[in-house]
Amino acid sequence: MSDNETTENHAAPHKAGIPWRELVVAWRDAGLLVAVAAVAALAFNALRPAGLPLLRYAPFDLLGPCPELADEIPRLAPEKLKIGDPNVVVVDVRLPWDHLEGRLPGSWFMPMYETAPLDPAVVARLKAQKPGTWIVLVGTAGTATAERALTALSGQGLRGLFVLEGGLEAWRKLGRPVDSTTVPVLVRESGNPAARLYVDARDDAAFADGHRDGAVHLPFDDLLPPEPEILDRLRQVQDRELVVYAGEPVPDRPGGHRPVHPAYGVAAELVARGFPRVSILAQPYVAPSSASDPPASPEVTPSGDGTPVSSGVTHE
Amino acid sequence: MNKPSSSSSSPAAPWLALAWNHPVHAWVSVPVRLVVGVTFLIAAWPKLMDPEGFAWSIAMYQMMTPKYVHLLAVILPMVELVTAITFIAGFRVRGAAVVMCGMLVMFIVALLYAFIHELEMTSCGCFTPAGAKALSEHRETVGTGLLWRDVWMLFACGYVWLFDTGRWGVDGWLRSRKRSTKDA
Repeated sequence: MSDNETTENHAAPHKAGIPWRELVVAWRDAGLLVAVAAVAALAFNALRPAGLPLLRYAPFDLLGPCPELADEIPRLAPEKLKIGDPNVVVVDVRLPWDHLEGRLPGSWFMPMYETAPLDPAVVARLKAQKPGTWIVLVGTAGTATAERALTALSGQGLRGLFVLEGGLEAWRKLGRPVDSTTVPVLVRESGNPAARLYVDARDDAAFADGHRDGAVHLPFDDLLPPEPEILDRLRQVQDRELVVYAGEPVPDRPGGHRPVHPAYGVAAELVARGFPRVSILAQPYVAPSSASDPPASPEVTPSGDGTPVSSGVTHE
Repeated sequence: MNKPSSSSSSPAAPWLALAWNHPVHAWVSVPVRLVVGVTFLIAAWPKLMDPEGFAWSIAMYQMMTPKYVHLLAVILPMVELVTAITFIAGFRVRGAAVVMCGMLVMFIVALLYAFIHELEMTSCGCFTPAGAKALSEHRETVGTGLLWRDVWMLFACGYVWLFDTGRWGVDGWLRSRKRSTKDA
């Protein structure tokens, strides 16, 4: 810069002219600044762990998601899926009772309900996977559950999504391994009642009419996931066994019945979400008004307030 | 207006010379530099931290081929940051003003393009990178308020380029240091 000129300008503004040279030199300085910044930016990008590739060969999906199913659903044949591949995450989008009855080994649980968005915690875990990971969604053959889940996940910016062709049924037909979980049915109650926490799976009206002392109300609903607040409350007492009961007797093999038994539905929700000690009470809840009715099982006797008194515990 | 010459200044009408070189410019330009510089600093930081999200913002304008969007998303926030720092500090202040004018012209052209074509986007990407996930959120067309903000800043930077001698800043300090060394 012309330092002398600037000094003169301050001293005698009326004697100085327009500083053309300084104005032009500013363009040279501008070029230098941009060059320095560009070098710094490239170095910063190269050194940072999540640096961007400088050239991009994939287009930007600017149209965003559509509420209807995507036109082209990428599908993966079950023969090509390798369980245990570190670059593949298998996500079961079926409802919890289906998940417990049979699932691909190591699959994640992310149920796709009819009227609820996907579990944001699982979506966040999927987003945290390293780029290039394949996300294979497993649904039920003949339904569009997995396709809907793929469209929803795609709309949240996830890539590498596939639907397992033919769902779990196609996987089974290949003779590939399938995991399953059984929820124990408590035929008789015994031991310390304080070690148990009852979960009432009946609807709001039935719960309002009467329920076991201290029971947590988690009504069965196959269209919506459980309230997160209730799940948080149950997580705080995981040292206690969660015993789910309903207003109707539990069938011998509750997992195989449709429609789903309310107590089994709620218990399946809890087991699929990782609650370690969950069981179903075989006996239906008897409201205090009908407490005089004899209990169905001779081992369970109602107390004065209608609460069954335990005399032994048997897991089916 | 006089033709540029090889000398550092050229004769001008007395009133123009007086107006151009009036000491008040040195004072007025300080708050102007602060406001515009801090605005650029605030704008640069989130984009520097999330270049991929910023790349989506650039892509939403649909003005350049996707191949070079990442390159721009990496370089532009750093240019904003470096320029803002030098602008506030008063180092090569006229050069920084020219860079800012260039960026603001670019932003104005982009906003005009989006405005004319009624492009729907989640945000202009000026202060927060849009990111891919934002594409699923509510979008709206660019409003003219953003244009006026950039036009105002363009005038401010133009003023600094034309009239600020860098008296209050590193440039002025370096000059006075050089002068005192020469005097000694």
